Amino acid sequence: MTQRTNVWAYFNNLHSTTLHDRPYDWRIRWWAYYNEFAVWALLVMALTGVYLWLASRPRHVLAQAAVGLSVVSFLILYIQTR
Amino acid sequence: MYRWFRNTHLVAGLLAVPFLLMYGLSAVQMSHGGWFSLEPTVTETTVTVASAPIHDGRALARILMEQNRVRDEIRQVKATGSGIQLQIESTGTAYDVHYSTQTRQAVIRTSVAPFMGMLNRIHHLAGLHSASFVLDVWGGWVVAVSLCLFVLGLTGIYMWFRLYKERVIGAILLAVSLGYSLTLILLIRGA
Repeated sequence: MTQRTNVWAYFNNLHSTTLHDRPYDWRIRWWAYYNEFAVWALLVMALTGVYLWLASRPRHVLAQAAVGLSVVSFLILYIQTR
Repeated sequence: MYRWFRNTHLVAGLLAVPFLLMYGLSAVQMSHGGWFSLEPTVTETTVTVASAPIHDGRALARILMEQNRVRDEIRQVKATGSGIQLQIESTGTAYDVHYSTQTRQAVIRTSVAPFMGMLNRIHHLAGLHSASFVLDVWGGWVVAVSLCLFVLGLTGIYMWFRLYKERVIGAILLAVSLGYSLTLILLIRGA
């Protein structure tokens, strides 16, 4: 019997499909290539976004507050979790 | 209006950036496991738990948690011939406890994941009703970062659309990306 997962479980599976799984089906393999591209694009966008902020408006107060809040929160949570 | 979108995009991006880097790096680790060593650091300590022998695994776990020797979630409780064996896990850290009722001592073997292993475990955190307050705060940030991603996408598309010179190349890239991804989503679902 074939059982179809609900759409959210399906999206969850799609988002965790990587080249590490060595997908046999061509459709899933092509999706894994797309995910691979998306992961590197995410890193590039995050880093270039920070560069663009620093190069254009480093004194923007709200931006400074946002980055301060998130970096400090992340570090505290990481240390507490470790 | 454009200025408001640009500021919103900037603030949402910077609010999410350490978390996005964490998601990106841990996704690279998951996709290319062989690139990183996930060998944990293992330490072993022996502690005397209480003056009277303990026969209940959960009571033993509670005492060790109160002493800050272990934390978060009990994975397994097993009675052994000489005492109790416990497996307890927190994010990136695994505790293997062997308790002897005769000596009333517990040997705690603690395995701590390295940096990339920690990022891997943090990547999987979600929800607001976890085993600890710290995990709930992580869950709160997951919600915030998810919302920031929607804001980044929408404001990014708006700002691109306002750059008249880049409409054509942007439209081509968007069409290729949507065409490729939506086609595969439908094809895989239909397979």
